[in-house]
Amino acid sequence: MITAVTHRTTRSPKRRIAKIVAATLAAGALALSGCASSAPEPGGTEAAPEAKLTKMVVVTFLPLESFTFTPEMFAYAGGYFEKHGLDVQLQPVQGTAAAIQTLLGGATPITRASTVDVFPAMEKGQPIVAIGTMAYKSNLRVASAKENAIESAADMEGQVMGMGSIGGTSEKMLNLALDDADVPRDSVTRQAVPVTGATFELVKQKQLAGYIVSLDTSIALAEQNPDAVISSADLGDAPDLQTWITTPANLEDPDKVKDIQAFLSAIREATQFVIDDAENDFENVLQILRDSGDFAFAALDDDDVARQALEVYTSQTWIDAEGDRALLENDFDGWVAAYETYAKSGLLEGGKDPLEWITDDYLPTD
Amino acid sequence: MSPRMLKALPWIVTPSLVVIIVVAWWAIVTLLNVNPFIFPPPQAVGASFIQLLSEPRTWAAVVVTVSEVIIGFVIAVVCGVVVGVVLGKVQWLELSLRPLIVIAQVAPKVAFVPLFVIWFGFGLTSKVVLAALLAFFPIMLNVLLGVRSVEQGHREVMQSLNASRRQTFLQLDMRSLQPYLFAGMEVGIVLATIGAIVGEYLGGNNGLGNMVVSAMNSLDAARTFALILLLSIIGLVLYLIVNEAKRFVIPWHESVYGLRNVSA
Repeated sequence: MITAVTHRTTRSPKRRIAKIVAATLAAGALALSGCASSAPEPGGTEAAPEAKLTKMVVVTFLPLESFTFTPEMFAYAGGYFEKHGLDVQLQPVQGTAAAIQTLLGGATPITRASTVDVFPAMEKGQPIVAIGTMAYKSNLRVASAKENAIESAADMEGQVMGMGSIGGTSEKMLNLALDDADVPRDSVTRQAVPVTGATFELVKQKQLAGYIVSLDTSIALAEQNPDAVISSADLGDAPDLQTWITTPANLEDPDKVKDIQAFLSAIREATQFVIDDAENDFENVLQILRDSGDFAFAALDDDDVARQALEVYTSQTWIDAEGDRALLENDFDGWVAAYETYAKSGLLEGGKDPLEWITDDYLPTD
Repeated sequence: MSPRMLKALPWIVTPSLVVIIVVAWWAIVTLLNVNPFIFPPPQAVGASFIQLLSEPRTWAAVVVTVSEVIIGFVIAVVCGVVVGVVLGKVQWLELSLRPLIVIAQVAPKVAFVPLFVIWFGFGLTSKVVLAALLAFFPIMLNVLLGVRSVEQGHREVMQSLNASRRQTFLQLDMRSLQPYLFAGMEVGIVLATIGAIVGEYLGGNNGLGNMVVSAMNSLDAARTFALILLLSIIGLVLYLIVNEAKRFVIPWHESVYGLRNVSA
């Protein structure tokens, strides 16, 4: 479990030393691998004076116990936030709805959310603007057993499926996948279950045909259970972009714009470092995350799970599939396509122009 | 204050406070222009509440939640009385188990919900277990206290009357612990309600707790508030039932007749 929230007003000497050692090791490793000249160094090596750091609370839609939040975790542990003059407190909240409410309430200037969750609020006229794309596709997986493998939406017809919570992102993505496969939604019974590896017991007991899990969990589950079948089950085919969102009010405040752009710069550099570290099998990234002492969760401690998860994020999720967009750059066509798909499915009313809710204007330019 | 005024007090103060709270709520969200996604105005919650009551699935969910609460509560009462009496009577056992009882009492039982779902499935059982577990401790501890609180003089009277152990237990101990049992039950019914709802939050697809999660995930703050209001009303009704049962079962106790004398 992660240690408290990752904010520290005054960083401990131990952590500082760990970070410097880790950053030096990482830079050295990159140099040895022959890519030091092209890859960015961890941000910690250029940390700005602490006195000038601007405090910033950023909420995450779930606890930071997943590689889903690698950009945030690595920007923190690697010192990228500090490099950009920010003292960021990463504050988890329970679910995307809570994250959006926190943004609207002004407790955080920026958070990230999936289109499937944020479009309903945007369509209802909530003041939310997408300012950068973090993930170009969904990474949900379905875990089932070999004897009743769920490998497509069609396989779910008449079955009992588990998910983290009713009405949440997983269920919305499930509905979209079922619609796409012409499977009646009400033919699938939904159950809220803990989305952990232990829930696979319910699949073995045949109480569940399968359940929707995160990428990290699916990898760990596959390693622990030879009889487990892990599949995207068409959930990944439904359009779902995860974008950084803020409010128009924040974008009217020059100071906040500066902080938001600094935050996005830190995230982009941290993400780029992780992507570049793929050729080292993510050794440097994992070492920095572990040595920082800020994060502790099972997947981080397991080399195989961590590397497999990071491989998927760096090669399929954080980068545009066509390869013609820079990190965080928005996919406007995908944005419109997602809106139209959701409207067609009944998730949204439709008839609005979703391009009014997204902009590239605040992406870092460096 | 006259007895008549005292009797009328709850009927004046409670509605007045409700009106003041609702008006203050309305004023805050209106004057501060609070986003209804974060804090909906009372009229939106009221409309959502009426809409909620008109939906058949709401009543189906009420039946599920109330069933879980009542079954869990009854289990907690039975187990609480048995364990409380045994521990109250057998002092060495209570002393031996005290550290474990304290640990079990302070352990965050809600953290076990994901395991309960896996152990007991996502049906009624996992919620009943949680409801019973939460309600058990206050009931058991109050019963234990009740058994220990029997006055020595009363025991001596029973002895002087040559009462058997069974007679002493039924006519003295059981009678003496009843006020304590009801004190525990009043706390227990509230905790059982919370247990059932939290269980529904995290497992299954039935009940009002599940509807709350669904409403929250849909960013429907008014419906979320309406569901919380409905849950609060259910909790209040269950509490009042226990409270009325106390008046019926132990009319001789000061906590009941004292109140009656005041309001008479």
